[in-house]
Amino acid sequence: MSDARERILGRIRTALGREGPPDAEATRSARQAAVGDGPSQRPEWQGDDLARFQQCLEAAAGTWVAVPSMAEVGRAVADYLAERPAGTAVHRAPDPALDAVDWPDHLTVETARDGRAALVGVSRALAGMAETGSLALASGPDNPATLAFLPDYHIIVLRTADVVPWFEDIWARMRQTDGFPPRSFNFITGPSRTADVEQTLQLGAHGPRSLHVVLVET
Amino acid sequence: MESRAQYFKPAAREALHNPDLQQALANVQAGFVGKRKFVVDRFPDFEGLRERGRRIKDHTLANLDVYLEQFEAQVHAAGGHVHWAGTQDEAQKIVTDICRQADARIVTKGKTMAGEEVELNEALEAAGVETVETDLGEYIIQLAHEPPSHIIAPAIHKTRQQISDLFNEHHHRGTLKDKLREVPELVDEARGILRQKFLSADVGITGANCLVAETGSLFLVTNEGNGDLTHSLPRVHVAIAGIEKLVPTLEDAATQLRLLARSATGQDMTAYTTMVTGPRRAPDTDGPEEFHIVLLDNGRTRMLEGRFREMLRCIRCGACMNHCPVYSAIGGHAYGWVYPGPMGSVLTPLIVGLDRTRDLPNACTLNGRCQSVCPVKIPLPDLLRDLREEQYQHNLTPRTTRWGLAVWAWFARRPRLYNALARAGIGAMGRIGRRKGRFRHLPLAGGWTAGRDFPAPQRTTFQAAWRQQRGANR
Ligand code: SF4
Repeated sequence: MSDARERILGRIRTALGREGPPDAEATRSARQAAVGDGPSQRPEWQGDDLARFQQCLEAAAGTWVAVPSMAEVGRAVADYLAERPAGTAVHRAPDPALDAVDWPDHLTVETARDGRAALVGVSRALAGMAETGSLALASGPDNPATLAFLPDYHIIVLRTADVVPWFEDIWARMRQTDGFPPRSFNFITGPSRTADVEQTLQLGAHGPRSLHVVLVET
Repeated sequence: MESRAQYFKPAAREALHNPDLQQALANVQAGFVGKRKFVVDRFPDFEGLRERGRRIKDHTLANLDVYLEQFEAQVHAAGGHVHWAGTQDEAQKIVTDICRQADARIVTKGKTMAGEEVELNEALEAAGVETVETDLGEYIIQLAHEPPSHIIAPAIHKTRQQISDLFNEHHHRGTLKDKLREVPELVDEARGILRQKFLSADVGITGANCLVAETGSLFLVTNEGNGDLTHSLPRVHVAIAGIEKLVPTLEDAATQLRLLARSATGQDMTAYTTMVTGPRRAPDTDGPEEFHIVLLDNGRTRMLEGRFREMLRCIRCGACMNHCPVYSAIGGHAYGWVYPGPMGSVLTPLIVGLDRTRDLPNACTLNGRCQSVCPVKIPLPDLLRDLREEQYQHNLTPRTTRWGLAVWAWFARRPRLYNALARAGIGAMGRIGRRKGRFRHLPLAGGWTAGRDFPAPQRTTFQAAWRQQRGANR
C-alpha cells in the first residue's frame, strides 16, 4: 500500500513544517545536540564486573557454576542434570566453541538444528552483561534461537572474558562482528516467568523452567 | 474493540461495587508500585535517565520522517517487508492478506496493544483463521471474551477461581472434577495447551516495544518467552507497531529499555529482551522465512501536529495507571477501550474522538502522580486539562457545567461585585455551619456532598484574610 506510505509521510512532513527534503547529516547532529555526548545514565557497582554479573543473575533466579576450561563444561552439565528429573539426553548448539567440551559417556549428546526435540538445551552466549546479569545470544546456524526457548532446562556456556559492563559495550562489540544484527539477538535474564495469575510470580511460563550458566574461566 | 468510553460513569460505579475487582486492584498497588520504587531508588540517576528518555523521543518525533525512512531501508536490507497502515481497516487488511497468502490456519499472537487498537483478532477470526493469544494474561481474557484491563497485565482483574473456571470450561468442557486451584497448576496447564499451538502455528504476530532506525530492528520485551516462540517458530512473522515507536540508535534503545522494565514491572531487565531484524538468514536452521512489519498511523500523525505531540513519547509502561488513584479505584474496563488510566484518558479521546469519550478527561483529580512517575515525563495532567478545554470549545461539556462556568465567569469579571457576594455567602455559611463545623447537604452541590461533608468556611474570604495578613506583616 504505497499510497498509504506517501499519505503518512506527507502528513508527518506537514506536521513538522518541512520545506525541503530532510538532511540525514543534520538529523544526526541534532540528535547529538539533544542527547549529549556522554553515555546514558546506567547502573553503577563496586567491585568487578563478573561478581556483579553473578549477583544479578542469581537475583533473576538463574544459577551458575564456574569451570576452569571448555573441556570441563561436560562434567558441569552432567552434575547439574544429575540433581534434576532431566534425563541424560542433551541437545547442544552446533557452535564450534562447544567442540572442545568433553562430554561424559553416560550423556547422549546430539547437535541440534533447532529446539523442537530438546528437553535439555546447551547454547553459547557471545557476551554476558554485568549491569543486569543478562546473557547475549545471537541466533544463527551456530546457536539456533529456538534452542533457547523450547527446552525445560536451558544451559548457557559463557567465557568469563566475554563479560562486559553495560549495553553500550555489547553494541560496540557487536557492531564489529560479521553478520550483526542476526535475525534474533536475545538478552536472557533468568528463566521464563509470569505474574499473570493474581500477580503471583511463577517460573516456567512458556520458556525454560530453569536457567543455568556454566562460566568458563579464561 | 469498539470504544465504550461513553459509558464511563455507570461502568465506574459498577466497578466500585465489585469485590473481586477491588481485591485485584489492591494487588496492583502492592505489587507494581513497591517494586518500581525499589529498583528506581537504587538506580544512580533515574531522573537523569528520564530526562534523556524524554529528549530521545522528542528528537525522534521532530525527525520522524527521516527515521521512518531509515528504518524502512534497513528492514529491506535485512530482507523484510514494510507495510504502512493509515487506519484500522488498512491494518486489518494488510495482516489478513499476509495470513491468506501464507495459507494460515493457526496464528499465534504475542501481546500487542497496537493489535488491540485495530481489532486484529476480530479481523482474523472473520477471515477464518484460528487466532491464539499466547501471553498468559491475554490468553485468559481471550477465553473470557474481555478486553485487557491493564496494558502490561491484561488479566489483572481476574481471580484464580475465575481463571480455573475458564480453563475447566475451555480445556475440559467443564468435566474436571478436581478443579485446578494453585497458581503453578494453572500456569502449567496453559503452558501445555499453548505449546501445541506454538508448534503448529503458520503465522506469528507480535507487537514491538521499540523500533530502531539504525538497524531496522524491533525490540520485544517479555517475561514468559511467548514473544520469542511466536516469532521464531512459524513460517511467517508479522509485527505491528505505531509509528511513534522509533528510536534512532541502539544506544537510544538501551536507554529506553533501562526505563521500560523498571517503570513497568519493577525489574532491572525482563527475562527476555529480544532484538529481531528481518527473516531467517540463508544458513539459519530455524526462524521464519518471511518478516513483515506494519507501521500504524491511526491518529498518530494528527497528534504530531498539535499540542498533543508529547503523548507520542509514551512507551506503554503502565506506570501512570499503577499510580493513579482513579484507576486504582475502578480498574481498567471502566475506561471503555484498550488504553486505560491516565494515558488512556488522553489517548482514547485523541484516537476515538472527543465526542464519544466525554468523561475520560474529567475522570482525573489532577494530583500529578502519573506525571511524576512517567519515564518519558509526559505532562499527563496538563494534557487532560487541554482536552477539557477542547471539549469546552467544541461544546461537548455538559450544559449544567457550561452554565455554571458562564455564571461564575460573569461575576469573576466584576471583582467588586464578586468580592461582595463572596463575603456575604461565606459569612452566611460560616454562621449557619458554626455549630457542626460542616454541612451534610448543600443545595446545588448534591454530587459533592453525597460522598463527603463540606467543611464550614471560616466566615471570611481568602482575599480578606490575605489582605489582613499582608497588613499585619508590613
Ligand atoms: S504515559 Fe508515561 S507512564 Fe503512562 S504508559 Fe505511557 S510512558 Fe508509561
